[in-house]
Parts: sequence; structure tokens; C-alpha cells
Amino acid sequence: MKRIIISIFLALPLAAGLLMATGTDSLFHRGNELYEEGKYEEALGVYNQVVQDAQESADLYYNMGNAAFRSNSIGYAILYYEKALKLEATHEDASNNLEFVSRYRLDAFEEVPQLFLAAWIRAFVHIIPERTWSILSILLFIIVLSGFLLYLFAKRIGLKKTGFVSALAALLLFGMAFSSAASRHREIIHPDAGIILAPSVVVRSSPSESGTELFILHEGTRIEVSEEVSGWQNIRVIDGREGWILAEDFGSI
Amino acid sequence: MGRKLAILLFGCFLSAVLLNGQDQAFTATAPSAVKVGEQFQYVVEGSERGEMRLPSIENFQVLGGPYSSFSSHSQWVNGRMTQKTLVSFTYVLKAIKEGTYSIPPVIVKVGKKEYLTNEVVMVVTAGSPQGQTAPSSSASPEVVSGEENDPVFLRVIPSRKEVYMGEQFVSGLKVYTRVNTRPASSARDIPYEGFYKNTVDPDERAQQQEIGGKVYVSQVIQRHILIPQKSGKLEIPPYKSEWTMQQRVERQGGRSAFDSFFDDPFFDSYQDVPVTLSTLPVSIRVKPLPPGAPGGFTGAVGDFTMKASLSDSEMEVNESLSLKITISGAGNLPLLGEPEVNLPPDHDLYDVSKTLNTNTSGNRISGSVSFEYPIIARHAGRYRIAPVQFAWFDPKAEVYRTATTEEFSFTVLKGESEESGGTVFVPGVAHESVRDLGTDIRDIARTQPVFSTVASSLFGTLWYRWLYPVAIFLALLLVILIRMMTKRNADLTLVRNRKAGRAARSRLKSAERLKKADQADKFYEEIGKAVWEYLSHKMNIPTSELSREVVIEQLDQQEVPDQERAELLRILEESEFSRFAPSSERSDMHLLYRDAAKLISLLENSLK
Repeated sequence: MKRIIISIFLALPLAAGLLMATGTDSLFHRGNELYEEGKYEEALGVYNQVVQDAQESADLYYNMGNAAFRSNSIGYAILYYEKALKLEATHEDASNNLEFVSRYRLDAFEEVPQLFLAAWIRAFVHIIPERTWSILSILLFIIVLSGFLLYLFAKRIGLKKTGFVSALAALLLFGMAFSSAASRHREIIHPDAGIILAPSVVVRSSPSESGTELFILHEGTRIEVSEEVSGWQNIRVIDGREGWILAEDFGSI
Repeated sequence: MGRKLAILLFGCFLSAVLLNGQDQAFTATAPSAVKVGEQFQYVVEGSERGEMRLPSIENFQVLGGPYSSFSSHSQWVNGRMTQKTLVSFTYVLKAIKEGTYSIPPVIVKVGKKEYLTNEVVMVVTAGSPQGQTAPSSSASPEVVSGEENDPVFLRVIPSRKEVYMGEQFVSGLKVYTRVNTRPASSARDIPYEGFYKNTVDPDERAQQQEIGGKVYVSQVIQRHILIPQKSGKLEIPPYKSEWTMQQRVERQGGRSAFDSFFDDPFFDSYQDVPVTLSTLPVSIRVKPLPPGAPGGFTGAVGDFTMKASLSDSEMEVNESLSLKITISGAGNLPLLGEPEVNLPPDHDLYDVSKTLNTNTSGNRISGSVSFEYPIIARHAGRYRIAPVQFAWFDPKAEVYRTATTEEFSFTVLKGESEESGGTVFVPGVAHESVRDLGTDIRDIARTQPVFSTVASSLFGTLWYRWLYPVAIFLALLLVILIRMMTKRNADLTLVRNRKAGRAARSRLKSAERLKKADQADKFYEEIGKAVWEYLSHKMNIPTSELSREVVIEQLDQQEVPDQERAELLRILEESEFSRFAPSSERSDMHLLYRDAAKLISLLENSLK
């Protein structure tokens, strides 16, 4: 049911993309067939063509994660599952497989406990995708304006009250939806997280080969990324350590 | 054997005929110097047959003996025949300690006479006990045979010198001899190190073979089937065993024509001589199995077939059935590991019993090995056992082969124990959390997904951003429109309102004119019209819709003071009444005019 609703929300901006869909669909099926035949690396290649056609979906990334895992590529498997979850945070299979595959990861970190409120807000923002937040936001904005108009021009005092209250409530909800949409939008445009893809990476204290070697990260470890300086990326590990690695050694989620 | 007997008979015959002129002394000989641990022979020789017992000698260990031998020969010298009998007792001794020791005189009993031998002094030196150099001795020295020239030698003969690990082959121990010989003791098995060995009956016959121009009789005395258990170059070290061989005894004395006659081996005398035979080292190259062993390979090498059967296809809870896997064929059956069986979850695998049934006919290990896997079901249900794979290496074709059983399924029925509930406690039956069987990722998604553009964001699109200003703009537009309309309506009322006073006043003026002209009817009508029209304008209600009731309602709504209301109603009533009433009953025109004007100016304030 939810899927249908989301689909309807998605339908409008997709109208243009539908022309492309037939080619993309057959690629997806071809990838699935190769996967079932055990040709995992070829399947991954076919799925990748879909992404190169600038098309994506949570299920596609999920299948890519599976194919990568079967090709013994833990880093890419984790990256693709994370991508699937970014598009659809409620993708249960992806989160299950991500947890499973994470056992093969070498690095283990003490997670710095997040502030409860921050974690809660993060979870809330990720309940629904950016598209849904954006549409919700504009709908709520229209409700705010309508409520306000009702308050202004209603002759009866009861209608006036209803207008005022609904405008206020909608304004509150609009604020949440709008900021959620904005934050999801920011994540999409400027990814702030990544997965180490190289088998092992030396993290340096400055963005150059001469920087002091601080510590070593291994394939599959999740990092937060901030600024980039001439091919070097400033990263931050979940336990709070920071340093610089080459941008080619990780994949953005 | 026959020859020995002949020699003995011949000796007896001679000694019986010729007994005179014999030297009765016995002499003992031994090497003058030996090394510690070295074996040497202590020989007592005499010319008469008798008994001899060696007392225990300090510092020497008696390893064997007495080996007695007897020979006799006759000589004709210048027409005179001399007969000589030679008797010898041989002991094999070993020196234990370094030093100079003597072997004391030993008593030899001949009939009732006793003879003493001479004392032998020996020097025992330290040194490697393996010293093989035979010390010079008048008696026949110990022979360590290994060379092909020797009258007796041993050989280890493997059927193959290059095998795969686990591949079986035969190795025999063969003795080659051209003299009479026999093992001194029951021979030990060759300790093949690094091999699994299985003794086979050496049922081969003796063969004649020519080696180096000499005819040897060869005989297999031990035969083993060997299975190398590690790869690399495996060495079969020299194997030594004790043998006794008959050695020809050299005749003493000068040579004569007669001698040459007796030079014939037939007439030779023989002596039992202990000898240590040693094989030559043999090395076997064991090749490791090629890489790429398939699943189910447990080290089997050979040629096999596999059969599997399930003892029953139905059982009750807590009963057991067994899966039996039989592997038959030829190969390293005794060394086979059990094939791996994946039992359905919830079933415990107990100890697998292994039954080996092999024979070694045809110089190879063949037969079968059975593995029995007991299965005890804990819960009712239908279960299946995945096909069992068994792989082996075929050394002839140098490939791996695999056999797979069929898939078995069995049904576990609810037993009484489970139904009877409380009486029998079946561990873990009551509540058991679902065990994780899944140690794998979940399968891929197959439903056609809805694709969207990569890294697209509705929020980021320009038209979405414009939606908000547009919505605000529309709302503002709406506000302005509504405001304008209201204002226009309000203006209209205001105009009419303002007009009302003026209209009423002009009506009153014309009424005043009518009063002066003394047109009473018209005057009253004009007064009524003035009031009605005023109300119509003021209340923004068309005159046609105005009635007394509507006016009262409006007055109530506008909260006009009761006094003014009553006055309004009175004036309306009087103007109406006076129009049609006779002039005597008409109200005073002047008064009515004044009241109407006063009322209108009052209503101007109270009516909005």
C-alpha cells in the first residue's frame, strides 16, 4: 500500500523518465538472470549500466549489493546496500543484508553515542524519501495559506477560528516537512558519508603523500566526508578520528 | 639339503674307518682386536667331535651359538693316508666394554675325556659399533652382504618408484642367493616409514636368475602393499636381518692330485656362518595430488563407487534411523575419511561408525568401507538429506572423480512421548526459539522497481522552488481581490446612506409646499414616502421589499432606541391613516411635519 502511495507521489516527475524505462527494465531483468546463473560480476556490470543511464532505485542497489557480495567485494556490497537504504530507509532486505555483510568487515569501532534527539530527528527525516517530503511540504504550505485566508475573510466567527487553528497546525507541520526535505536534498546533492572501497587505506594527517600516517582503514568501513582538497578528502570515522585519504579510495553513498 | 646329508654321511664314514693319529687338542681363536659393540666370532676348533659349553664371560655378550660344524677329509701322501677331522664350534659374541680382556680356557668334552682350549686375549677398543670392516681372522668373518657379488644379498623391490600420495603399490623383499642360506630368526617386517602398509602373502615361487654371470636363486620373502601418507621423497632405509649361510670350509694341508679330486664342491665341508644381510636404500618419489580437488574430497585415491541407503523412511520422534554410505573399489580404503553429510537442521549427528572390509588379493587393497550415520529426530516433520558427495582421485587417469548420492527424505511421526505431554520430558520441545539457519544474505529483489533519475531531488528543481512564491502571490492576490470587492460594496451603501438624508429632506420640503398649498392628501402621502424611502436607503433594502415587519426586524438588529422606534411606527401609522381619514380626524399637519423631520434627524444618528 505504501509502495503504491509513494509511486503515485513519484509519478509526476517520472513521466519524462518513463520513456527510458523499457530499456532500463530489460537491463534489470538481464542482471537478475545473470545473478541467478551465478555470473555475479557480469550481473553487477549489467546493473551498473542502469546507473550509468542515470536511473536508480532501492531494489536495483540492493541487487547490486548482493552481486558485489557474491563477487567477494565487501566494500562495494556495503556501499550499495547503504545506497539502497538511502533511497528507501525502510528496505528491510537491504538492512538485513547490510548487517550480515558487515560481519565480514575488518574494522570495528566503538561508536560514539549520538545524542538521543539527533538520532531521533535523523530517523524521522529518513522515514520517507526526499520526494515525499517535498510534496508534503508544498501541500502543507497551501493548507497554511488557505487557513489564513479563511481566518481573514470568514464572516462567521467559528469558521474564522477553524481557519486560524488549522493554519497554525499546518505551519508547524510544514516547518518539519520543509526542513526534512531540505536536509534530504542536501544529502543527495552533497553526500556526507562514504564507504572505504580499497582493501586498506592509510589515513594521513594532511592532504598529501607526505602527511603523517595516522591510522589504517579497511574495506567496508563507513566514513563521514567533509571538504575536498585537490583529490584528497577529509574524512571522519565513527569513533571521532579524522584524517585525509585519496578520494578514489572510497565511494560516496 | 641333500648335499649336506651327503657330506655328513661321507664324514661319518671316513671317521669310522680312520681313527689313528689324531691331534686331540682344541684351539680357540677370536679376533685380537674388536670395537665396542662389534660382533665377532669366537671359534673353537678341534679334531674330535664333542660337546662344548661356553661359560658366561665378563664384558662379552653371547649373541648366538654354538654353531657346530664337522668335517673330515683324508689325504694320501706318499702312499700313506692321513685322515683329518675338523670340528668347530662357533659363537657370536659382542664386546661390551673397552679394555683388554681374555676369554678363559673352555672345557670341551669328548666322550669321557675333557680338553681345555687355549686362552684368548682380546683388545676391545672404543669406536663406532657399525664398523663393518671384518677384522682379520682365521675363521670365516662376519659378512654384511649388500653387494651383488656376494653369495647372498637382499633387495627391496618396489613395483613403482613414482606414485601419487595415497596411491597403493607393492613392495617386496627378495633374497638372492647362490649358497644354502636361511634366516637366523623369524625376520621382522621392514618398517616402511611414511607408508601405510598391509602385509601380503609372498606366495611367489623361487626363481633362478643370472646376475653378474652367476646363477642366483631368488625368493620373495616379504611382500607389502604400501600407501604413501605424505608427499615428497620417501626413503626406505637399509634393512638388516640376521641370516645363517653355509660356507665352504677351506681344506688345510698341501695339495696333491688327490686334492684336486676333492676340490669338487661335492666333497667340500660346510660350516654354518651367521651373516647380517642389509638391503640397499630405496627412495620412492611421492607426488602430491594435483590441485583443484572438488568438494567432498576426503583423501580417497583409487577407483571407487558409492552406494547410499537410508534404513527407514519413517520414524517416530526420538527414534533413530541411519544413513549408510558404502564406498567400494580399490584404493586407500583403510585411510578414507567419512563423507560429509548435511543433516537437516534440528537433527544431531552422532558418532559415525566405520566398517572396513578389504582383501588384498591381486596385490592391491580392494573391498569396501561403510560409514553409518545415526540420525535421531527430535521433532515431527518431513525432512530431507541433501545429496552426499564423495570425490576421489583416479591416479591412472590423473583426474578427480565425483559420485553423488540421491536425495533422501524421511518423515518423523509424532511419537507417543510427545503427545503424552508432561510425563516424558523431551528437552527443548516446549519452547524453542527459531534457530538461525540463514548464514547467508537474502535473495535479490525481482519485482520491477520504479526507477528515478540518479541523485535527483524534487526539492532542488527550479519549478518546485517557485511553487512557494507562486502560492504566496496567489494568496495575496486573493486577499486584495476580496478586499477590493468588500470595499466597493461598502462604498455603495455609504452613498445610499448619505443620499437617504438628502432625499428625505427634499421629500419633506415638497411636503411643506403641499402643506402651504393645503393639499392635505398629498402632504400625508409625501410624509409617508419620505420616511419609507429614507428607511429603504438607510437599510439598503429596495422599497418594494420593505414592510412593517422587515423594518421592525432591522430596527431590532441595529438596536435602535425603543423611543425612536415607537415614534417611527407612530408617524408611519399617522401618515397612512390621515391620508384617507376625514379632515376632522386628521392629525395636525404642522405637528406631523415637525415630528417626521425630528425623527429622521434622530434616525440619521442611530441607523448606520
